[in-house]
Amino acid sequence: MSIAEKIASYEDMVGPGITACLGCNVELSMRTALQVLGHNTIVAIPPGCMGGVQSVGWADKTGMKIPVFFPLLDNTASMLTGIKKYYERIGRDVNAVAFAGDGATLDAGFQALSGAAERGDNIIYICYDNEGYMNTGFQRSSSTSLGSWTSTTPVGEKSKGKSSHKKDMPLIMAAHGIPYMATASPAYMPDLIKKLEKAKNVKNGLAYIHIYNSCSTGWGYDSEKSIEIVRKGVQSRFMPIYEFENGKYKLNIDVKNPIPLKDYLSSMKKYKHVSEEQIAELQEFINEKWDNLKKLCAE
Amino acid sequence: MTKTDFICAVGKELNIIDTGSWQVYPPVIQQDKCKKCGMCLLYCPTNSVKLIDGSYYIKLDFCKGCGVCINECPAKAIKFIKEDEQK
Repeated sequence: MSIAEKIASYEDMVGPGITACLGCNVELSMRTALQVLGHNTIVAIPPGCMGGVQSVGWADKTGMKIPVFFPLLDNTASMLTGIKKYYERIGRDVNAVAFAGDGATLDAGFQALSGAAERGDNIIYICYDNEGYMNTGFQRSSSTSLGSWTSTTPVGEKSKGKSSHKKDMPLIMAAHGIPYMATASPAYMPDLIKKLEKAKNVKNGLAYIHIYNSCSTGWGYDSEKSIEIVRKGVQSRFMPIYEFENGKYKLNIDVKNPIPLKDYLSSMKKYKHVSEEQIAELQEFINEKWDNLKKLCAE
Repeated sequence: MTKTDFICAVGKELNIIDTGSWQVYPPVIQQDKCKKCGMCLLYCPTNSVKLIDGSYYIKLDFCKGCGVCINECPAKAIKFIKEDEQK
């Protein structure tokens, strides 16, 4: 059975019409994730793009065919922990799943997530990383990469986009010693599906999946290039795809001949202003991260 | 309440928005060029591509007309049908 036939055989858990932007691959990631996780699932969607597109429902109606709720930005993981504990007590095995943006994971919800990882609560936490607070008009988050234009790091005489690097959330989560951590990309669908299936089978602690997404409205590219952009991101080593399972790192997509970083950056408006020095600095950061990852995977 | 596979009762009904009305041009798969690889189904954000008896079709009810399928199709079998071609 081909991967498309496999996906076609799953039931879609999200309502058919949700108001995500044209070509939104976060919508694609959410639909795929919930198709794989199945209907024995409770979903928590904190404020963010996917909360805002009415997947959590609107005015007494629900947005999904499975139970979904709307926690605060900063208590997603702890609230889900409580729900999971209740089902553990009554002896029912459910998938407690969070589908949170990078703001709700790397910034506001970090403390709750870190606590849940440390306690070893059996929840699945999926972070869709589109490098900013896209729902409210692209403010910077700690996941925004260096030099990127955002509405709070404008480009002008004094400021040339964001001045610091992206937080390396996947490695931080792996350092908690959780049973399963993976990064994925919707451009590499078979890999993403395999990782979701692995996360579903984790029963002894927290499973964390970091999905590198893009945003056509915020990043500034045509909607049909949505998948092409994330593929370029992976191919330029900007978004390394790897997993951490039972203490071992494994590189899933080894990019032997990366495409020039400029190819990736020049394909969107948020990097239109970027200077050669910034590209060099970004390249150095990416090389450093890649070498580090290679060392971790070789052990 | 009837027993279901779901954990608890979900809301009264689904909140569905008519995203099909966002389309500027409808995308259509030309079946003679289609190689049946299923890339359109994998990458469609709205899950509008359906597999019926081994062939892929785009269901236009909720398709937003983003064009991801057109860009990703390796056989270039999908295209927007402009108004003058619909006749």
